[in-house]
Amino acid sequence: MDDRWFEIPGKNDDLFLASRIRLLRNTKEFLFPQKMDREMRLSFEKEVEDRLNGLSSVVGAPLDKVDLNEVGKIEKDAIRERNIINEAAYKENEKTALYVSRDEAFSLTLNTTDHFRMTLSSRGENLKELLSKIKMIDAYVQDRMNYAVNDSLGFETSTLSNVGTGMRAYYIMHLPMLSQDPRFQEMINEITKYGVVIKEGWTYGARKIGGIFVLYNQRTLGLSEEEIVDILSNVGNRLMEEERALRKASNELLLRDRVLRSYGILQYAAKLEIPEACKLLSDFLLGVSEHYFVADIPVSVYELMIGIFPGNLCMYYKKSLDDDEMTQKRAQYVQAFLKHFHPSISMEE
Amino acid sequence: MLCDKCHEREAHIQVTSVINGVSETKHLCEQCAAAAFPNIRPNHVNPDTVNEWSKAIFKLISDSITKSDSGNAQKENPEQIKGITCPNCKKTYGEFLEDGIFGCSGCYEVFNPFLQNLVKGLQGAENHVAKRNVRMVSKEDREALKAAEKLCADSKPKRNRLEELTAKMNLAAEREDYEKAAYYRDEIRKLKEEGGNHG
Repeated sequence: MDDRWFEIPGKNDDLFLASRIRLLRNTKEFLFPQKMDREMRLSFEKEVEDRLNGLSSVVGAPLDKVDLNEVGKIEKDAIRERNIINEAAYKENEKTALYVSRDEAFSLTLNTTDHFRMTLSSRGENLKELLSKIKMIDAYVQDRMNYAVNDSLGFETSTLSNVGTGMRAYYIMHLPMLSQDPRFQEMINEITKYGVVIKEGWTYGARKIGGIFVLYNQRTLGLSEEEIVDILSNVGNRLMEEERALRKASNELLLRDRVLRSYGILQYAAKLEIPEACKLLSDFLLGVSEHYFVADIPVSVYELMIGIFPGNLCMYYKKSLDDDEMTQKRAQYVQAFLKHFHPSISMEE
Repeated sequence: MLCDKCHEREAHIQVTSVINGVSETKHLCEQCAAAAFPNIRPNHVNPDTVNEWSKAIFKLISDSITKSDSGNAQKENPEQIKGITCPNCKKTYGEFLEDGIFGCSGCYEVFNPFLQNLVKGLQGAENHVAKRNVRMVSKEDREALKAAEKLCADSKPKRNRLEELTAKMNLAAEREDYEKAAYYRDEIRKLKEEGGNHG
């Protein structure tokens, strides 16, 4: 099987867990999805299949059509958890059509809020490369689908909140030390002034968990795609420097205690619930990044972290799990991963 | 602390609700919280969803902008303006102000005179950076793309593609969809020319 995108290492991928770009596009030739009836959607889908039949060669990987009505709830949940589709496609899957590249890096969803929703993901700090690649894909589609564009407003999207570039660029970052620093909130406020949103990556109800954060551009109009990516990269880099500096300056005993204590719980827990697992994994990941562990095979931490959520956990064990089984299997799943990591420092000193 | 609902499992989630100014805090376990909030999942990349909340916010912005639009015709006769209808998809401007969703490309044209302030309110800018020929890809990139496409096309068996196109053209002609048939005819011609150049 092909490696999936999160199994391939990237630059600074201990802090930049993932980079992602999302484009929204519409064609002039059809009414926008809100006004489409079933017949029109089908003829649009057919038109897309006909005209974009070379898409997989531009993407550089085979594309699979995934029928969200066919796959069943567990797999659909898992696809949503891996962020291949958005909430709109998850809820209204009978209206949408989904194409995913074999490595899951590229996805094309038709008829969510807009005709085309394309995403491209990769591990590590990689937005520039993603942008040049998705531009190629976009040009290929634009040549065949007659985009709805506007001289003053750019790419026409279903809502004004995406008009202009129709692009959102994301970094998913792990900042376990910085996010506990008293200056952090102030830094977020300052960053927001420049149109970059920084938001808790994983929330659970109203509760915030883990040191995972998502950075993305708030506005889609008035800046070029390159400028958007540049600003995000600068902010991401600055956050990385701050995080690394804090780690360097921190008390080694406290750091080691935090990492190994969480590792111990993960290692021996008989059951794990999501918020606790996220917090512990964040500490463990901090330890991996600071070389407290050596892995005997390349292991994707992103895969591990996504794998603890219900849909993906059920997919991993190939059956549906009830609530109690879920917490037990979650612990077993994490422990199966941890087997590949060995503490590289002496436990007693 | 045990869950306030099932009184069995450990409570990990705190839920605070404010009803009529009285706030109430409950501590729930993961299972009971999941039952109460079925859409809990990793929330990483989610801001592009049009949900009820973003619709409500759009309405707030559109309301206040419509009200304050003194230099605009909107003040003189707001009801008439709300009745403006896109001839292509039949969406009215009033409907657009409610949900913030365009029905088609034509809406952009028809509603254009009223969009400027909305755009400024939402985006803080009025214009896209590329003024003409809105495209993300420059000329050099396009050359590279063409080369890549050609490489892929060369590696594919041409004959099958030709057969496929011919079948599609015939089908389109049978259905009297001549526009499409012409499109396939041109594709076939291109394909043959390419083949000729190589052979």
